[in-house]
Amino acid sequence: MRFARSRSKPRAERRRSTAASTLAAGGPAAYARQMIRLRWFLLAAGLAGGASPALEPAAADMHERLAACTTCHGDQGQGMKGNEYYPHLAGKPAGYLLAQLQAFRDGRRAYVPMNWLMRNMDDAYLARIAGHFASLPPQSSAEPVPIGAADAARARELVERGDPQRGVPACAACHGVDLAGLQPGVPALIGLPPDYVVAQLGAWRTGARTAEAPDCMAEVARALDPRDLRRLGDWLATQGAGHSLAPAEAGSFSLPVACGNLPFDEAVR
Amino acid sequence: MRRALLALAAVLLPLLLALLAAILVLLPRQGGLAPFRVPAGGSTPADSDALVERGRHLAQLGNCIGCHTVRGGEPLAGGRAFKTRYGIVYSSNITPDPEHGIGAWSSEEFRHVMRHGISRNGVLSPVFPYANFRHLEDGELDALLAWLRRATPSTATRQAGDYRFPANLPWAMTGWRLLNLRPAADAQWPDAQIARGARLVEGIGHCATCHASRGTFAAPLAGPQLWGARNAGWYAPALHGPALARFGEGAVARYLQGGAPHDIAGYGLMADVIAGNLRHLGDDDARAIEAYLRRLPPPPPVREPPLRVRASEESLAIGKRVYDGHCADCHGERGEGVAGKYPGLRGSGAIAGADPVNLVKLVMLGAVAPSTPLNPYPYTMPPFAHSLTAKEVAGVVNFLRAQDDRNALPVSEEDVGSMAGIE
Repeated sequence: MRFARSRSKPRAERRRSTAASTLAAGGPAAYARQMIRLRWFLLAAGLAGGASPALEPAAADMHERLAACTTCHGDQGQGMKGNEYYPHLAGKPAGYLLAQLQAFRDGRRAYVPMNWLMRNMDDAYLARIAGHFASLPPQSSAEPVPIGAADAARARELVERGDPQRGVPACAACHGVDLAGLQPGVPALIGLPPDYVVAQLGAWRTGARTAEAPDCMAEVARALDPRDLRRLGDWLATQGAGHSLAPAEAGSFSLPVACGNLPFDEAVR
Repeated sequence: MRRALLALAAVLLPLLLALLAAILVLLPRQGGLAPFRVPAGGSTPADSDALVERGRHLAQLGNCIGCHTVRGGEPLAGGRAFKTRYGIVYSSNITPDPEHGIGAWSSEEFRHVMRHGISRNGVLSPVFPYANFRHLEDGELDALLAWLRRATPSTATRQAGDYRFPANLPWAMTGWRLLNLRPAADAQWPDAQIARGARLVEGIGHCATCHASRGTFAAPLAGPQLWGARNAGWYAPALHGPALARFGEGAVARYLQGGAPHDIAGYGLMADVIAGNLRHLGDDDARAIEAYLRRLPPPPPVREPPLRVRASEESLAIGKRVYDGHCADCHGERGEGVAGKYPGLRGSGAIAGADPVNLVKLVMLGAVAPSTPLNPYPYTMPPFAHSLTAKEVAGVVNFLRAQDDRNALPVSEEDVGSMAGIE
């Protein structure tokens, strides 16, 4: 496995640089940048279009419009406090967020309150919502949970090396060595409530959560040893305290497996 | 033995004669024998783009896809379940598949089933609003069929209804027709705009399907009595002059087209209808519907029931606390709302009125108006199911309703549980 250059910096240095960049994040400039990036993504996906510019709300206005989101996902998209179920949204890749919103609307993900609220939202609004939360500085309110040393070691092994016998790739191969995700479609794994991670892996195994084919995470979740789900959820939660890492820039490394319409490189595997 | 047979005949014969007499009286009232003669063969509509476009627009106004599609399923392949007092009815496959859909139907057969509810598959359940669709002209029905014939064929099979007594008896649907169906001559409206609105509301729009209640054995009420009704778990509010008085001139039309006049926008099942259908209403049609609805008279006043149950002071106090803590931020300390953003609650249709079910659902599930060109990025109402107890939800519902009417029927914690679902 190899990663492209931007991932080869030492972790501490990367953290500094992302911390500096997040100072600017959340402001109008970051929002505008995020929207431009999202527009290109949408154009590529054939989703752009919609309302006249006069009706386009500003960033601050979006926050006011999205009270239904922030009631569970936090005023700044930081998720619910402690280890409640609701994950953070702040700073996740816009393409990933948009795909999830569409999946809730169209029934590819099942969670009644989300399905209900998304029901009559069009792609243009969902893209706005995705862009809004993607432009917020990455942060999560999820807190670490206790985990035994043996379980932690097994989880760490899965994250760094995968389970080759079961055909499970390393988590880090797609989600980044710092597990902060990759633009535009791979989310961070850190900063998530442990129950949420376990529930998602379980939902992929049963088919309650699906993504655009090829649904790589469904394959990974089904290949995992069921006993590893809880280990992964708990261990990932221990990595997430004070999570403020932005996802890696698009193209800074290649995925080793085919996931939806994201670019991948078989040779990386 | 012979005597016993004679006695039996003496009892049965008058019964049979009475039944025959009843059928002879009732048959002409529902249109004689003609509805039972389903035309065989005939022509098909021209496959012209103009006709198909006209059909598409009519299908949008009529919500064909909404009822004939399972959410997330093949469009128009049917199978959506409708719960009624008499069991569950499933919509049918109206794609052009010749075997499972209506691909083999002629224009004549399609017009017939749309107007009489009788097809080669027998007498249909009155859940299918054929009593409304009989107001459509031949050209409109041909346009609809032309549009349907361009849909993607589906091999989904027809699902028989899961009926309860008496709807599960043989000939039940025929019996229902005889007893309940009384097609009346169309009312004559002197004003062309109101006549147009009447045709849309009573015809393709079939608004009464949700906004009117039904009588004994689901008999349709005579004439346009859109006095509000609980349907599919939601309360479809009354539509008549006084009920719409709080909407300014043109606001009803704008609401139907997907706008948010007075910051009021569609929620619940009406949001589905607006998102899938009514957002395509032309200005003239929307205005005509508004003019017609405003002209409808309210129901005659009902005498106040002597016994009133009021919300307890405890529940109202809890409600006030919840309101101040969770609602006042957006809706204002006294329910005045914020113009251009959050609706005022004074006189709100969800709060005032006999049925609190919509308000319970709004508080529990939150709400988002459909995104439409008139309201592309609607403000969203958060759900509170995860943060309030049933007692608190009941409290805030009772508090809000008491602001409008001190005698409003209160809801209990149990009511909150039974009212909060999505069917």
